[in-house]
Amino acid sequence: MKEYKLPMGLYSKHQVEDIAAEAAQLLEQQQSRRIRSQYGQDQSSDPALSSLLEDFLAANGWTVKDLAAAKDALDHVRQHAPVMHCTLPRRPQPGWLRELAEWFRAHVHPLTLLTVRVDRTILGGMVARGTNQVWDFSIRRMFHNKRDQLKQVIADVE
Amino acid sequence: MDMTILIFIGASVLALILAVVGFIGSRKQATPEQVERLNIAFDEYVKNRLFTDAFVQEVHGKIYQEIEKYLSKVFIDFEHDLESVIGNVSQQLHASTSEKLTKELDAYRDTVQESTEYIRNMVGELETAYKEASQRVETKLQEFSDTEKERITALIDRRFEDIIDSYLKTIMENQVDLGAQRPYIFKQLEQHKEEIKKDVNEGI
Repeated sequence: MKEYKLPMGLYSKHQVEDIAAEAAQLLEQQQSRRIRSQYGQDQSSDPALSSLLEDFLAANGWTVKDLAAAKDALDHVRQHAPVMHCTLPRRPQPGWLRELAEWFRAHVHPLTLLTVRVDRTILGGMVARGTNQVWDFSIRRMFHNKRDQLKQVIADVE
Repeated sequence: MDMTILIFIGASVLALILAVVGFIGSRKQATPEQVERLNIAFDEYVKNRLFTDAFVQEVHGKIYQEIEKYLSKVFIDFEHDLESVIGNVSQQLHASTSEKLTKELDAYRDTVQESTEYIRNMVGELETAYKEASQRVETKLQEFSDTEKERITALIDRRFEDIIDSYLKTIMENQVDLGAQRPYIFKQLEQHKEEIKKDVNEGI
């Protein structure tokens, strides 16, 4: 797998898909401008990039002229980067997800992406699903694991 | 009895016999006047010769004396007999009364003993019935307690997750703070870091 760098703000697969689409659109625009400029008709300035795409380009030492490489890199990441599917009891703040992505990239894989799903029934904590395994750190699971203890407490009541 | 009296009685009887014999013997022959005269003569004879006033008075006196003596003796005997009878009757009455009282007391004592025994038996039966009832109630309560405990345990076993979810969702509806859970989540990730890393790298 190629060595790319993902900015901390780029942590979800959806974001990668979004800026990959943005990069593809920009490339088309660049192509059109280049054609029009051959005929002296292009008067437009460089297009504005989203901050996320700018961060991605900067993180990999690229500029807007490297959109094609960025597009290839984003497609590669989208197809090959490991994804952790996280289930949380409520919609998290972006800063919280950046911190979570940072941990995965530091300890698991540098291109780790996240998907987030909200499920209130887990009550608290988090359920993480990788390639083949699920790690249930939810409060619901914690109570479930304590079920035998609770049953014993009730059974001991005279 | 006194000899004088015997003689008197003998003479009187003789004279009476003679008079009767003479009367009977002369009935066919004597006239009423003769009979009358005979009777008068006989009466005078008896009155003047046999039953003179002094004689009659003496006889009366002796009869009285005899009667008095007899009555006195009879009275004394009667008095003794009466005392004896009174004593005997008193003794018998006393004995009879005591015996009757003793019988009554014995009967009363027997009745009290029977009543006491009956009450004691009844109390014993009641105690036994109470113990048996208590034992039955205790057994039933224990059975109910065991059954209820098993039922609750089974119910919790079946619906544990629903119960906990419902309870916690109610109390944590708007209080789920992921920021507060951050230390717990990252601690769990650290503990399972190697497993996650291995799983992710296998998928690449």
